[in-house]
Amino acid sequence: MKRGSMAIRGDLVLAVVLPVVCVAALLLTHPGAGRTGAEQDRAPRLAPLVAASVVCPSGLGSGDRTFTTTMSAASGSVSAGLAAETTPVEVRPQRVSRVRGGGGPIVVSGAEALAPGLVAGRSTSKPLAATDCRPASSEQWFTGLGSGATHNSVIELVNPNAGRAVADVVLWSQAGPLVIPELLGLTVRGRASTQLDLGAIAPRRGELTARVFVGRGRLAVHVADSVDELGTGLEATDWLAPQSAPQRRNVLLGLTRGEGERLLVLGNPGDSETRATIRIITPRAVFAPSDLEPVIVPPGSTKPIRLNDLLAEASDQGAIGLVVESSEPLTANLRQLVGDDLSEVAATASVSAATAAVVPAGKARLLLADADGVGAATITAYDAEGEELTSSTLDLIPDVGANVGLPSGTALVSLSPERASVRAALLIVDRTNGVAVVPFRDLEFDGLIPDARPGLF
Amino acid sequence: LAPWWLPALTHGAGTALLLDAGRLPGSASSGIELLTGRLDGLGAPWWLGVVVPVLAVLALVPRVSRIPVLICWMVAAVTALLALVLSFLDLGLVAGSSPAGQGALLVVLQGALVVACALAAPALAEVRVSASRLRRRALVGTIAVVAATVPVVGLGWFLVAGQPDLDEAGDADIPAYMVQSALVDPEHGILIIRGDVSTGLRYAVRRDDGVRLGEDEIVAHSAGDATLDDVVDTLVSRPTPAAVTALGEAGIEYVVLPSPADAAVSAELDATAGLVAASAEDRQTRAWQVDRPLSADQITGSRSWVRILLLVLQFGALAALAVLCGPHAAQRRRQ
Repeated sequence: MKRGSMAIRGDLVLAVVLPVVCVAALLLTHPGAGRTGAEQDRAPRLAPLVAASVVCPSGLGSGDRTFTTTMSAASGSVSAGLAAETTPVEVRPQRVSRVRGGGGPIVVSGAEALAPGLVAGRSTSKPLAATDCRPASSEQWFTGLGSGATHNSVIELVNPNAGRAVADVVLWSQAGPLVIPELLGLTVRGRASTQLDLGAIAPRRGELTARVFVGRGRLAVHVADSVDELGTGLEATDWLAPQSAPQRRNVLLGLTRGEGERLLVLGNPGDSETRATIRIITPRAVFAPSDLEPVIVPPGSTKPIRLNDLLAEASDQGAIGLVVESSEPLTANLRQLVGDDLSEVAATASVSAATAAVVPAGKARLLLADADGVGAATITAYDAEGEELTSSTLDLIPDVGANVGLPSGTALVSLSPERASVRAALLIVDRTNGVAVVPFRDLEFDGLIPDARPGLF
Repeated sequence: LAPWWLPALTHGAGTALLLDAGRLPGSASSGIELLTGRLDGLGAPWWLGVVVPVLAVLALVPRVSRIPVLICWMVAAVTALLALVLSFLDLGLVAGSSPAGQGALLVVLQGALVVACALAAPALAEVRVSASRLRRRALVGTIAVVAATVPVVGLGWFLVAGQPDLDEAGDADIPAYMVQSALVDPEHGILIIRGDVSTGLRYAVRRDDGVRLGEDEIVAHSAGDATLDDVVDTLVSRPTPAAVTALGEAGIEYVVLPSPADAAVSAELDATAGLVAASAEDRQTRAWQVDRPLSADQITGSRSWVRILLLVLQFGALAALAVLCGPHAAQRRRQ
């Protein structure tokens, strides 16, 4: 009897213990408990470029010059040209080398050690116009384009690569978005270029905003903007620089002095109406003019704002630029027609690392503004042989601009911000031939190398 | 199973023995999911799976059948402990890693619990011998209905809410004409690159009709092709005409970036000489044809003579067993 009761107690104990052990073990079983986490770090790594190219647009007038140099430590030969006919150009650090390539677009390509920090610039002396030669990209925005008799723009698409590229150009007029079938699905063969005369394709009055989206391949896009005042005989042309995307804070650097027309053009490609406030940047402060009300920009449209007197007065008092702030992303451009010269001022990108720009002949000034913190910037001017002319270090302070004169004979200027990013533009003034503005951009030194591994799928 | 297991061990792929069959990496389930008969979210709703463990606990009540039911619970407890130990394993594969397979454990666990219920059911019906025949019948009927509910509802779920298709549709991301081309010859391979630059890319080459059932484990434990790794590295970062030529030599006719294709990689590939844009049904999928001579020279594999010998031995052993199982001459003479 006693043995029987012990046996009963034994199986009762097991009847409790076994389910408890089973459930406890299962409760402790979690998926992924053994995962080491080694798979988590799959971020791309930065590596110096081994091939790079920058694209200069077709020339605009007489005195057409294209120069190139390298901000890397290497010397050697880069190639210049489009299609099969390329010519080698010897480059040395900081020494600007003339590129001879006719009036058409020029692709300057560097390989291996000469790929990082490739710089080139194209300019014409009459009318004075200058542009930075930029790498091809997949999306660019232009504001303040025209397609009429008095104001017209020509978009130039250059494909520096071997493969075909396909782009769509979408326009926003003052009345709303425009769908122009001729501007959709534009195919540019490898190592070829094409020009789109907006006045011929979509003639209309008023200001336009354009988004050039390259769905296949990559294109360098440049816009030559011209004003033709019928009756007066005034014809002026300048390159219109792009911005990579609409933004809530657009900084335009490069105000010119003197009486004339100033038209700020804002593009709102979004679906919401937005209110934009315009402030003026001087080397000492950023202020909002008392007589300038915030501007309402309707959705999906382009809005011109005439600022003739305000900017003439402000620039005489030393103003260097404008900042346009809005609740929705906008694109912006300032068209200045002072004297007989047209100068286009596009939204400037932030520069966070060492950069440089080729300086055309003329009296050059470096404009700085909108530092994102307290830091310093070293500005070094070089002559055509790469010899250092001056070097100075400026303190970067938010909401304070700078206007730095560059010595005569400067052919290249480098800008190295530290601890803060800043927006900068080059202003070139020639008493007889006008004004040119070249915004700075970050140079390409490194490329992203994705982590590519075999997969199971 | 020696023709499969022994080569796996000799090739350093012993971890394959801990994996479930099918696509890798395998799924991982929590213990509660295993208890309710679900594998990584697959299966009938969880509340249906609760019925079996509850009945298995109730199966411990009748004294008559307690010992066999305890044996079932012992099997279940050992399986649960094994699941716990295996959950801490992460098995390295040629690409990434995989948790240890839980499919067999799930079947054993559920099987033990179901057997426990089955063993106790007749005993439960005899709990009260004194009860009237009608009440006993009602009790047995109730037990039968509850026991049948799980498979019947599970089957219903499988047919209605689950995925009743037993065949697998082709990879929708790969255009059909590419798949047809791949079926023609082995050198018409398709290089498939998934992912994006910021989170990493994964690639695989599809030849013939893709990876067949049973080949997943072999692929997962094969050594990578260092040459092809270098070619793909170059292709997704700084594509050169030489890399495209190498693709042709590796027997790859198409490069596909399934939707959503990474814009940076596709722009680089668009710009590369030797790659011609190919069409795909989905606009977000990008594809290119390699405009270079294709070669099958690099698509070779080594033949394992050991495995062939083991297969011959296995068939010999099977034949011997079949003979031994048959009625032998002495028996026939006796008859």
